[in-house]
Amino acid sequence: MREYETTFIVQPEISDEGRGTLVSKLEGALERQGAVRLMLDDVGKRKLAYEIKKFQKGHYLTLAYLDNGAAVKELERLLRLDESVLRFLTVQTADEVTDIESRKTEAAEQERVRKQRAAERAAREAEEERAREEAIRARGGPSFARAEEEAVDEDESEEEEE
Amino acid sequence: MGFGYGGGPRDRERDEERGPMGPKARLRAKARKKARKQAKRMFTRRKVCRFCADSNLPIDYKDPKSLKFFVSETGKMIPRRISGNCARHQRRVTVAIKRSRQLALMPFTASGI
Repeated sequence: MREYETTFIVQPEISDEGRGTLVSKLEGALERQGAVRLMLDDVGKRKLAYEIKKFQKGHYLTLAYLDNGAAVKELERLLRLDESVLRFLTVQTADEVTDIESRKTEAAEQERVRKQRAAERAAREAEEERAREEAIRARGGPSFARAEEEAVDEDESEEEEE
Repeated sequence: MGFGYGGGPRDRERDEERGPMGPKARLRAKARKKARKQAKRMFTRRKVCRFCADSNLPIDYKDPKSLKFFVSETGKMIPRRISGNCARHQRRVTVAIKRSRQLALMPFTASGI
């Protein structure tokens, strides 16, 4: 089997549940086509380098799987049909994976680590958000321009940390 | 004369016809020598491909931060002769940058926004 990696960008306004149903739909398709799901990497919201459909941000997700070619087609068809998906890209990362079980456990471990990191990041972001709101309140009423500026600063520092 | 070999037949002829080197000619000869030296130094400063030097350095299209080194400020790719990459790794960097652009992780151009 070959190993593939599909990265797709979901609209930033879609809720966690909305993304969840999309992902489970894709995973169901993988199973039906006889592919082996390896891992899902939730990169989170990122600023787009250029506007796509008037969106400045997007939620990046990467799905890795083993397949013989049939599932790729089906997966891309589903992504094209879903309007909340801004863009997707499928890349073949390995040729001829023979030891499927060991690759599976390896990927599961990787996924666990990534998930943990993502949870930490989410907690930190929530904390920063609260701190920012408190600071605005302490200053006595939000100044719109100021808040905007801070939001931009936050984005940059966050990118550097990753 | 003064070129590191005792003067070839042409130089000897020149001496007979035009006399010894004047001060201006000597200055010009000096400048030529200096230019030659500088050209030599530029050649020896050839960079080593950083991906060859460190074999576990990944080239990943999902990591725009590491690819940033290989594009200009306006988002254009930097040629091999400047980045110092070997042909094989430059090819991989190029593919990674193009994929990265499709996923809006890197800009096609920085002036558009």
